[in-house]
Amino acid sequence: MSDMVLGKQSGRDKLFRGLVYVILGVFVLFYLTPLYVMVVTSVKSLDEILSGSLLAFPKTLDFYGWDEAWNNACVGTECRGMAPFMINSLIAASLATVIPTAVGALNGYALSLWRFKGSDLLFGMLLFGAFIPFQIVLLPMASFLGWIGWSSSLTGLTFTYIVYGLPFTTLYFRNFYVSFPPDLVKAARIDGIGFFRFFWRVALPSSVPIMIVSVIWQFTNTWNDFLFASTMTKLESATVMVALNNFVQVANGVKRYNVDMAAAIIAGLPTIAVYLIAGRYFLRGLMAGAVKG
Amino acid sequence: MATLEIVNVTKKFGSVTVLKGIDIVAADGEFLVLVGPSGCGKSTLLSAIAGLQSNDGGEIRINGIDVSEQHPKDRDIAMVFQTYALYPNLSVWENIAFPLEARGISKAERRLEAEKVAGLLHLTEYLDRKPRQLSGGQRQRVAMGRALVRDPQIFLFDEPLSNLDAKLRVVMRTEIKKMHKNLGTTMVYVTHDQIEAMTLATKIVVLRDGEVQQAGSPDDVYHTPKNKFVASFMGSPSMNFIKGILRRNEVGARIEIVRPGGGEVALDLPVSSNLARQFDGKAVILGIRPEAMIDAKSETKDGTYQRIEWPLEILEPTGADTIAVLKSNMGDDSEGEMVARFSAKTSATPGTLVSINIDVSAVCLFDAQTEDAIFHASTVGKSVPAPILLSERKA
Repeated sequence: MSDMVLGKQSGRDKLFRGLVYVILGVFVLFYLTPLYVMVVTSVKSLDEILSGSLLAFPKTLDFYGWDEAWNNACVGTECRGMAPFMINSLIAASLATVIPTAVGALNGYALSLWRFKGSDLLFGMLLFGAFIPFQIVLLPMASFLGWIGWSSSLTGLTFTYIVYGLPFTTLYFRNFYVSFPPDLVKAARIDGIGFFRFFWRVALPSSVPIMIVSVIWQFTNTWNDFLFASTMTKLESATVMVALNNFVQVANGVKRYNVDMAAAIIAGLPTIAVYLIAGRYFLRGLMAGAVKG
Repeated sequence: MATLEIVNVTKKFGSVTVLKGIDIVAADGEFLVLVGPSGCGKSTLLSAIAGLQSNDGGEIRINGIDVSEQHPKDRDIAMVFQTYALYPNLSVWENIAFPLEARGISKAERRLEAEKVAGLLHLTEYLDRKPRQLSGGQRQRVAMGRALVRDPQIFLFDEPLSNLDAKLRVVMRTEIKKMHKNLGTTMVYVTHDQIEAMTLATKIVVLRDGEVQQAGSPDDVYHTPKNKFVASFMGSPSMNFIKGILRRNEVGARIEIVRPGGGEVALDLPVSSNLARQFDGKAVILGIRPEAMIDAKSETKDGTYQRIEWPLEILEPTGADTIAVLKSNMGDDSEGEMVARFSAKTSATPGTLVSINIDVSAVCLFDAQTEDAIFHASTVGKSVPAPILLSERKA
């Protein structure tokens, strides 16, 4: 597309084009400034933060904030740093990514390519699950987890993530497989290729783009979740988002902005990493099916 | 090696009856072609044979056994799809050998089988490529390879050539015909292209609106069509129709034709006296193939030609000969055009009346009401030569 022939551009065209770039540039600044402030603040000393401007570049690099955040951040009276909570988050988010993606792929495959009586109804009901506001299910879910003995535990939280991830991942895969050529399935049926063999050898390997979408969606949503995590965990099972809130809240005396900023950046790093690695597939996946490639 | 019998098969989609009791028999080794316009039910019938769709009534028998309730994989059939239906993530050889994988055949053996089939189809050098790296014709061959590797009892083809360009279509058509000759397996082939039907089939079944119009050899269907629909569907350019009134006379009957733009012409036809009596004074439709209508200067070998004058609209030179588009007297419906085959060096002038020689030994007659064929001149036989008569009557 970049070598598209545009013909000769008039002055007006150039002006409009320039205007578009200016507007885009303003938006880029608007979105990047908070990140800039966070990064800059996290490497300033507390003195410098209090005396200098918010936007100023640090005079000297000071990694006190990062050190404190990672090693000594306190939740309540315990000061064990962020690592334990990062691990909690990693466990919960990874399981809540892998399991719903795998099950959602199988669900979506069955609901689109091997339809059966009532499959559309089943899909409709499953879809309904995607649109229920989480606040509504908070109490019933908590009491259910209490009933089966998983309350205030990482297991219970992960279970919740997995259950509420499934409608979304099923939806993604179903809509992806729906545009699969139906003749492929017909050919497989005639050739005696079964449900699972077709899934494993043909459907799944062809669905990398939507898998990436599902992974990014599940990982960022569960990693960033605060609602379920703050309700369904206690101190030692808290995820990093809950812990981050506590770090910032419990600080007494002078507010250590550099520590807070460093902690916030650390908490956000894994999702940034996922985006950077898989981001380019993300857009491609969202576009898949719109245009036959 | 298998016989296929389709006995009174019906299929409904909601309130629409797509197949209205189809009866077809294909002998062992038959190349059966199902042909008809879109929506005639030919693809539905193929799906029913394959087992991709159930039939509501009737039986589909392979080797005498009703398979209507059997899963597609248990029918021992292979199918080639219009879209090729290749698995995009698998290489060519994996595509070809995929049906064997389900049967638990080892990878080494599968590869060997795929290589064997690929050799037959000139695909050897592409075995490790992906389908998207192949041209349309090569993909088509891979799809055929996947069917071949199974060595099934019956091959099914669902418009396999319609996604190819014209030149490749002819090449692949020949390859399919060769394949049938070498294997001798029963094949069922669906197409809307009557040329494919004519060239490939040992038996053609013409379908319309879920009913069999005619089943027979290509020769039968072409020369002795059972009704006007079959006559117009088979053949390209299609058969010309002229309406007229039949009058009994001493040689059989004479058809009196009102020419478009005024005037009247007539042709004598060697019909039986019974038929002549039955249709005396009634409206009939005369069917003439374009190759049986030639310009007056062309050589007319035997004495079966009669000459009429008819208004010429335009000439379309094709090189080998010239297509003459004539005015029709059938009214404003879709058949409002007639085509004759003139010699390449014709001197006819468009917009005027031209002399045309009509081979009355190759014409058909249809009842104007029912559109059923009532007479095929080709069945009269050479022993009864039609009289040479210049039977034109100027208006």
